Amino acid sequence: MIFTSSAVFAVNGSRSLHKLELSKTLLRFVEFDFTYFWEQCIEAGRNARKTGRISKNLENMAINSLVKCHPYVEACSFSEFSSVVIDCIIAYICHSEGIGLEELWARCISPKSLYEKAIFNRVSEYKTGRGINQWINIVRMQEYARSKLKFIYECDANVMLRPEEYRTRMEYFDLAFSVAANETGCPTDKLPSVRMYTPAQLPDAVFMMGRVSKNIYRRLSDVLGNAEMWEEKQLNDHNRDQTALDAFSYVKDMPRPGDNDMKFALEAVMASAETVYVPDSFKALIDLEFTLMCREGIYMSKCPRCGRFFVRDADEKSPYCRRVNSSGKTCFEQINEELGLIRKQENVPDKEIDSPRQEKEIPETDDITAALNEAAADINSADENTAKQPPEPAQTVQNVVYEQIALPDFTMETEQPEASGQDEAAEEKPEEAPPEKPAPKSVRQAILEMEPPYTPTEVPKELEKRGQRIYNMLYKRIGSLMTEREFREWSGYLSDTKRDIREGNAEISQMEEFLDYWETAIKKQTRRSRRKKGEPVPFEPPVIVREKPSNEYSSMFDEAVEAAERKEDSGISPAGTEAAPEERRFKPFEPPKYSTVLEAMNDGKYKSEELLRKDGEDTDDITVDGRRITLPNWERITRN
Amino acid sequence: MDFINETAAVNGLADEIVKGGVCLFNAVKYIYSIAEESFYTVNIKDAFKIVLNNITDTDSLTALGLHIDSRSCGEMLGEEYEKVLPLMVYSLAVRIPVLKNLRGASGPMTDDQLYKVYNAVIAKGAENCKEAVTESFMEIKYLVRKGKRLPPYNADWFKTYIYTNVPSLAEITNKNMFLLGFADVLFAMFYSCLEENLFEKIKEYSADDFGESVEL
Repeated sequence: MIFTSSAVFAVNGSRSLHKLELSKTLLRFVEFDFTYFWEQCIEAGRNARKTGRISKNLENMAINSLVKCHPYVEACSFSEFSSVVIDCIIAYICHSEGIGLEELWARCISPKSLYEKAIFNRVSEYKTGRGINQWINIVRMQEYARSKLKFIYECDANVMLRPEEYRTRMEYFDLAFSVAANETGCPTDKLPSVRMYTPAQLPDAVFMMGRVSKNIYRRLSDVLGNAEMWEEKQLNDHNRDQTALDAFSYVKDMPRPGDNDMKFALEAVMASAETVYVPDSFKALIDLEFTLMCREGIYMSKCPRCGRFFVRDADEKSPYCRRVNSSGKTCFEQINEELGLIRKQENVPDKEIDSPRQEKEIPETDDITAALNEAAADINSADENTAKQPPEPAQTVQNVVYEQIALPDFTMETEQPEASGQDEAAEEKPEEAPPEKPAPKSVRQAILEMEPPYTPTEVPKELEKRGQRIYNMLYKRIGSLMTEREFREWSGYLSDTKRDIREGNAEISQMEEFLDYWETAIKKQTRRSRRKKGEPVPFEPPVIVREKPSNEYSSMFDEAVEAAERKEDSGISPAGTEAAPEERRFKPFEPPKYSTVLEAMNDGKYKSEELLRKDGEDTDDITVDGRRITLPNWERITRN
Repeated sequence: MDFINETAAVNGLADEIVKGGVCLFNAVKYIYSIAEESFYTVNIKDAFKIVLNNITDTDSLTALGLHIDSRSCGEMLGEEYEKVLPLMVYSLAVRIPVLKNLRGASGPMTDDQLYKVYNAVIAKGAENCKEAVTESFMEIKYLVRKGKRLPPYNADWFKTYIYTNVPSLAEITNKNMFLLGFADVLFAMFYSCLEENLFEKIKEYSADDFGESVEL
């Protein structure tokens, strides 16, 4: 199910309305990768250092790549976030050179170029509280949204909380924030907030509903022409009502307009949203989205497979997301395929899968039904005897697969409504009751055991640095070693690997192997280019090839399938497909260790050979594996 | 002292002094505007740093969000206060003999050269309105020639002029007290930086090779 609930918001100083798609905006923001923007800013900074000014084109390109992260950023791209590129450059300079803002400000106090002046002006804005580093603000805001999302929605994958529990979590989080703000002396009335308006009550409503406003002005121009003007200083918190009612006094005798004017008004009202929110900051809008999601009954869950949050329907039992990942499939599809594949490798009795394909007749009301049908199709196509069997109703195919694959419990419920509507024949024949539910433990366990097999760990700093070094090297070789697109894919793969290591889906050696490969590739490319140029090629030590880890996720899966096949051949039940990969490892040969020659001689093997010696033989030689070994002659050595 | 082009040197030094005077005049206005609504957001030390690092250009002060307008420094927009500008330039011009302290291979600037610079500055509009500045070119020249210690450059003449000629600034208000307080510090520090700046300019114009060592 796709949620299309949305809200409309406007930002201060703008007359445009913007759409906030609930949950979609939030998910996009928390997962947004700012790497591209960061790189663009660094490029713009380097260019500015050379030319003395920030290229407008580069700046626009960078901002264009940033505004996609959130509609608020897009709405404020010409106001609040107009200097975000220089903010990013400032953050980069401070970070890379290890200096503070004060030092950077002092460096640029006598600016020699427009670039330095831009930095100086921006840092001065920070110093005088007229601006903040919006780049850092966005990054921190992403962290805030992630934390809140995690706090509210992260729970056991198979559990859906009640709406009030989600709401309580949200309120608790917000309250914790308020407590912290209160205790640190932060004036809570100055904290981010959202104002709610109808379109006609918006501060810029006169201009936003211009046509209707003009009509009203025409009708009131006589009265308003002689009106006394208010001075800005006169307005304050105490005389708001007075001011408002003074303004009202000019319209109190206004009759309702004619049909024509009302028609225009109707058009304008219908074209605008019922409620318009005006957040005074980015955080306020993020909070608003959480609040509206709770109000609309939109809840999220964390996919146990990919670790990403997704919108989960209240009646949705599957904990797996339906978000398309890099493989082009959803986790939900993938998990079902895996379940089907493993079952296919098991010894499925022919009698239960003897139906020819009739999936097309089955109304596909749910993805899981389709997945079940696909799995059943695979099973049947693998069986040569299938065609000889009489066709059965489609519902039976579903039941067979349901029985054989032993899907997790959540899949059962999706089928129930289908069965009640179509299988009248089954109801008439109680003796042909659906087959018994087999214990789903074996296959499910196999799947569960195949899931993240490593202990989550942090990527070591050395490896991080190495990754960064290779990243930089490859970045310089865009165009020679790889294209920009390939580089982006490479960068994405590296990030994914790091994340997998942190989540326990990969191990450090995999990342090392990956980096080894690319380091070698870079070296080779460097050598090639040097040879072309006729430059001397430096000596390279031999490359150490690391042993490929045998227990990575994919190989585990293959091994499980192989194990199932082997057991199938040997007549063993395939229930134990979860054979531990350790069992199949060959133990490396280790020579026996002896501390003395005598100990070696006394070892079992030699002992047995010694026993072969016939009594009375003069020779001290023994034979081991057909080889003649002469034993040493021990002589006592004296000083004489 | 031998200059590569003496006329250019004289004009260049005169320009520098006039620009310095204008900068001091604007700096006073900018810093005065802090008292209006930026008292707690702008650090006056930052404003000083900017002024002293940009002796001939005060535009950078706008980076602190300061503006010279009728709202923030309306008290300084009167005709009487405008005369402070030629006074400021004059107060700097009378100290030109101090430049004699820089000695090149061909010697220090001659009295004639100093006088030419002084005349050029006066020609550019410097004026001792209402005899507010008590120091004179001849007096400073005498002290320098005798090697006597010069009195530090201060804002006394500025304060005297304000008390007697600009009533809006002579009034006892928070803003005006702020002005009189920072003026003392700013004038002394500004002159010190301007003097250094002028020495650097002389080195640029001079035909002598100063190298790293500078005799003062």
